[in-house]
Amino acid sequence: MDEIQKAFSDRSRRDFLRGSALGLGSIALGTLLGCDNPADRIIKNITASAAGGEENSPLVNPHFVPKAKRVIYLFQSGGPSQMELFEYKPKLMSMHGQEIPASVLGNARVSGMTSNQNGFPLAGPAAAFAQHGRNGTYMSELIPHTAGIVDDICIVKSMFTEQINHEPAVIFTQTGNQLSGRPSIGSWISYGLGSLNHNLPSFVVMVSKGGGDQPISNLAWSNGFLPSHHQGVQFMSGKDPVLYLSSPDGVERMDRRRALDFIREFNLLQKDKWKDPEIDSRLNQYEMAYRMQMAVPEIADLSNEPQHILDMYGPDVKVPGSYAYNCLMARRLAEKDVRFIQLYHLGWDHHGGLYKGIRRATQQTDQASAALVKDLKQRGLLDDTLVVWGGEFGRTSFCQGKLTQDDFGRDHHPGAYSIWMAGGGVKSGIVHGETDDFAHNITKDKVHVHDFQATMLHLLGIDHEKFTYKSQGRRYRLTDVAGEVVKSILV
Amino acid sequence: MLLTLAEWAAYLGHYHPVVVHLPIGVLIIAFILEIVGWRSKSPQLDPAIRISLLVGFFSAVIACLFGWFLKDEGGYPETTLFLHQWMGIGVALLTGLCWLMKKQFGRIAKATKIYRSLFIFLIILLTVTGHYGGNMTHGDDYLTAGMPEPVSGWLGIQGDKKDSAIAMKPIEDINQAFVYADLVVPILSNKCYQCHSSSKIKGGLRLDEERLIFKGGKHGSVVTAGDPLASELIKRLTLPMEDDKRMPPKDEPQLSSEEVALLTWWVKAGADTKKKVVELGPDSLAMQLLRGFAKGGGGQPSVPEAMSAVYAQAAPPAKEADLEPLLDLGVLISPVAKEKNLLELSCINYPGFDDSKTGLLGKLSGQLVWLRMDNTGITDRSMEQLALLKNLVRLNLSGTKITGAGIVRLACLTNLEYLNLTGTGLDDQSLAALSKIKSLKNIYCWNTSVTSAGAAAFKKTNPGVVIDNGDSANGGVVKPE
Repeated sequence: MDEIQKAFSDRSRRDFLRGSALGLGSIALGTLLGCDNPADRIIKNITASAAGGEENSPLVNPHFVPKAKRVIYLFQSGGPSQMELFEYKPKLMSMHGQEIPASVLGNARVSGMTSNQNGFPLAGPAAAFAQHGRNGTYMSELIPHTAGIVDDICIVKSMFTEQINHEPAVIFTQTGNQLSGRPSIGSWISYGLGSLNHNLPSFVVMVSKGGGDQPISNLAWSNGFLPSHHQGVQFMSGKDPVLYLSSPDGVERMDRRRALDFIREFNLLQKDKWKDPEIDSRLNQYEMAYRMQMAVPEIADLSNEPQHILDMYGPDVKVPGSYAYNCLMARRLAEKDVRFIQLYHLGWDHHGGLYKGIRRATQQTDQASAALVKDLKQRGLLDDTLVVWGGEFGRTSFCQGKLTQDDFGRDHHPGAYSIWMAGGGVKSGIVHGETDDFAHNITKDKVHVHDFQATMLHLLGIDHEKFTYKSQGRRYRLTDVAGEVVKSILV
Repeated sequence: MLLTLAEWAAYLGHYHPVVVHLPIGVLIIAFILEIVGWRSKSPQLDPAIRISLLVGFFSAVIACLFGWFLKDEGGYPETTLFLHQWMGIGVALLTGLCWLMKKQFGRIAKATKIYRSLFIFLIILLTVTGHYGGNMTHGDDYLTAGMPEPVSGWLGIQGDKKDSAIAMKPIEDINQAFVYADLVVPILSNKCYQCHSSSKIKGGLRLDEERLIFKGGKHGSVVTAGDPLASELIKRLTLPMEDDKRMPPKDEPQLSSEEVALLTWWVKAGADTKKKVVELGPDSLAMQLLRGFAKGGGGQPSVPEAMSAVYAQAAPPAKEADLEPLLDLGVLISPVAKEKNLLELSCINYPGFDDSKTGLLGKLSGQLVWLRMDNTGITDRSMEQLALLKNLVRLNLSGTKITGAGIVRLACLTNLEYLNLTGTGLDDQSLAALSKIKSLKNIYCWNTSVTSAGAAAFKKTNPGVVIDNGDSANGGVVKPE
């Protein structure tokens, strides 16, 4: 009742909206929904009322001076194997084919895909390791380019999660809760910190093509209960990065403007009647789409990228929708101050045929991931951009299916996995956390998914415990009721 | 729904502070009329004075009655209450007496003398009573707190009482700090004493002495050593804000979450009042919390030491008139962090920014710390203006037409930590001039004519600076296409 009354008493906003309906042409987005004095205008990029009135007014600015202003999250969906990429475990290699010791396996449940196996023979890594960087960090031969930037990244080997299947684990990593319906990290950040560029959305999502056939649900970039203009805007590959963005033939830009102005008047009438804050979101989205018609083609036009830059990202970079192409797009979006850029690459789920499978996945991603870090660095952008590379869980040190001479598979393993981060206030050239001889159990500095999320928010200047949104009577946090900032990896 | 007599009394009691102002006002106007009548020696005003005194009398009686009701609610310091109560009743009676005298003996000279003396005494009594009442409502340092130096010196009042109560002693070694005296007491005195100490005892609870904390309040004990969940003190701190029992009440200054966590830890660790931190053996989690309180941090996340001193400065808020013209251009301005007036400015949505506009930035020199002017139309001619922005910590001029001649002017920006000059006319000479900026941490000169030798020379004079001139694997400069 309370919230409904609040909506109805929201007179000033309503009156203002009525006033602004008088054909203001290409009025700035913020002015549409805020008051017009400068004090409000300096924060006007954060717009739209949210259900619940003041309680849910956006954070507006960080709790403290941030180290990172934007995030590029290179999500490796499927569960990359830590044993083939970051975890050099000679003992695992020497015990190849032997049963995993009961003391290591413990009581932890294994997934339904392996629980009926007669045994759990250990599988040595399907790749060789060598030392790289000033600290002599062991890196797999499969990721030579990442090994080349090892002094610029922070590898966390002690990540763990609570979920063992893809969908809930992805949703957990992206929203802080295993059931879908909560806002994703990007939405929280878009809502909390707002846009740094009026012409582009503050949360952009790109799913690369050619990875694997396992689907990724768009619930991973959902706005949940936050106003819907905070959901991730998906950029597609090809001529039209944003679907239905370009005007049909014969429709000119001014026609579009007039149409939008007219539609807005209708929407404002509706808003006046129903007071639904989602109408604000819709108005927002129309205006954003209008401005994106100009800004997005410019972003997607790679013709002014010099050849040596394209070469950095690898041969795939010219293939729209490839991971490399998306990495280059990510850099271009970061240059334009898009807050949260989320890439998804599928194809890391190697239950069988791991030897070949992981080579394919690393070939598609290694060079471009490293190039992105290097490119951001030379442009002075890595300093305040946090780059994250990681998936939803790790893989088992024991074999799934038959362990043959030259091939095998690994099952999902939530108990330990590796990710890396770079820039944005994270120490570079370090490794955080340790696992046992089989990369199966964490032995030092455990980092829970909520800890990781708390750390990311901290780098953006947000205290994760104070950043809440009240929905249906409860105040929600990205980190739910847990999470601790991993202080030792901060600069 | 009928209220019982007691409920009516409790309700009306709350109107005591409202009603008391009626006799105060009426009696003062009566007194003024009396003086005027006295000076002009005319009885012309007498009827007005009589009626004022009568109204004053009745309203004073009502105020006394309501005051009596309010007293039943408790929570007021006994001595002050006693004085206020009887002086208040005195005021009412005296007003009645004055009215009677004015009415009966208004023409007799001798009686008039006594009457006037009584009236003067009445006004003095009224003032004192009102003052005690105010003290009970607002606290006895309400008028002196925040009193400007000259006034307090003239009145002989010592300093700002409130400040001395708030200041948390800087704690050098958190392990050796006394948990109760050094950590708990400052929190309680800051946020709780106002209503729970000798000056005001709401709910019968006093928190200003160890003994009294454990004695508890009207509803019993508030601290169960070792069990925060069973301790009313902790429970009240964590109730939802809307709850009537929430402490501190909704509109009062609240405890920070760190302060609540500290009190919770203290109760859990046995609510000891003598021991040091190290003796209570805090676990790593508690230690993390406690460290936040060291050095007077109050547990708040503070600006890390590695960060520029600029962020700790208290800049005045930017003037709206200075922001307006920039915002009108389509420039983005946002606060760097909450509760700071420092600003970030980005021209990303207004690449048309050119030399004719840079003058607008100077007025924000106190607030501007981050500035993004990359790919705008500015040239060397703007550098003079930019050099005035002394608080700049991050400056991005990438992709602009500036040359070495302009860049050297930036050397006077002594707070600059991040300088992005990629794709500009930067050369070895102008780079060397920037070595004067001792605060620099990162400088980016990819895509410029800086040579590897120039970068190396800079590195020699400023070893702490990360100088990035592009793909290091190529051993230096990456030439633009």
